[in-house]
Amino acid sequence: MLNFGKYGFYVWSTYLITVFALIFMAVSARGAANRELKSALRRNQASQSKQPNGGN
Amino acid sequence: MNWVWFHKLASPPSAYVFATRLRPWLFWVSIVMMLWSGWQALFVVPMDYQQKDAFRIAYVHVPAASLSLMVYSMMAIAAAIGLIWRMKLAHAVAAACAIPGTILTVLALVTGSLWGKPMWGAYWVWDARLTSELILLFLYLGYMALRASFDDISRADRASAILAIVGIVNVPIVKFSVVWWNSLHQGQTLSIFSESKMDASMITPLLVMMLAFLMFFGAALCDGLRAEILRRERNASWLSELNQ
Repeated sequence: MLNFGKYGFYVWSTYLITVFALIFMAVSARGAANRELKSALRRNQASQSKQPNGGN
Repeated sequence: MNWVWFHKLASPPSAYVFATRLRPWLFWVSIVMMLWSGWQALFVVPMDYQQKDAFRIAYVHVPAASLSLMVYSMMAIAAAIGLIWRMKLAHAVAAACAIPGTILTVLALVTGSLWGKPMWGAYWVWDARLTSELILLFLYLGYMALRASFDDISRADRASAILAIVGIVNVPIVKFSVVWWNSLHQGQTLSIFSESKMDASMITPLLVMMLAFLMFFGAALCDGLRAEILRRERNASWLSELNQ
């Protein structure tokens, strides 16, 4: 049932590649968002601390 | 009808908050749907009388291929809106579509090759459908390369938008290539306007998988859009509220 006969290699390879591709899609998008958020927050904090009253 | 909520979404802070809230819902619902339809596709759905078990590849190949076209269309429409109405958020949406679209196109080509080998005896043939899908991949890569070649975001937006709009001519070519030319690739299995050639027990998991892929792409788009908004709004005052 699980080996799908002579098509097993093609079927399982397809599903494995799909899982990796979807993980890559989610991780790359999430990573980009987190990187930009960190850099935006860092920049924002730096610009606030440069102000004479500390941004308040 | 009150469209204020819709117009509000066009502002970067509102779009950022909306994408942040929507993303986990789309992601987790798509995961559940994928697990269910994957289980159905591999263990429940009966084998095809002609293609035997190789037909199970369709459950990931068809969603990836159809979505690669849909994402390109969305990217081109967003780019056109950005170009015509000078809407920055539309350019951000177009830019955020590029990486997921490229991954889906590569996935469609690779899974198609893995389906082609047992059915046609070759991983690749220079068939109209396969060649036009490969051109779609080059369009996505060209779009990203063009964006990366500019330091100024607004210039990158304009140049890449023109490429995206011109490239949309390839979308109907991919879609109808199996109708217009003699193709080794099988014809349309799913159609909105005519009865499906597949049995109901086989088609339901496929439709659920297609919806799951769409929602998964939606989740990736939300993250990509957040990154694009942050990149464009570096000096905006609303960012200080994220600190709190």
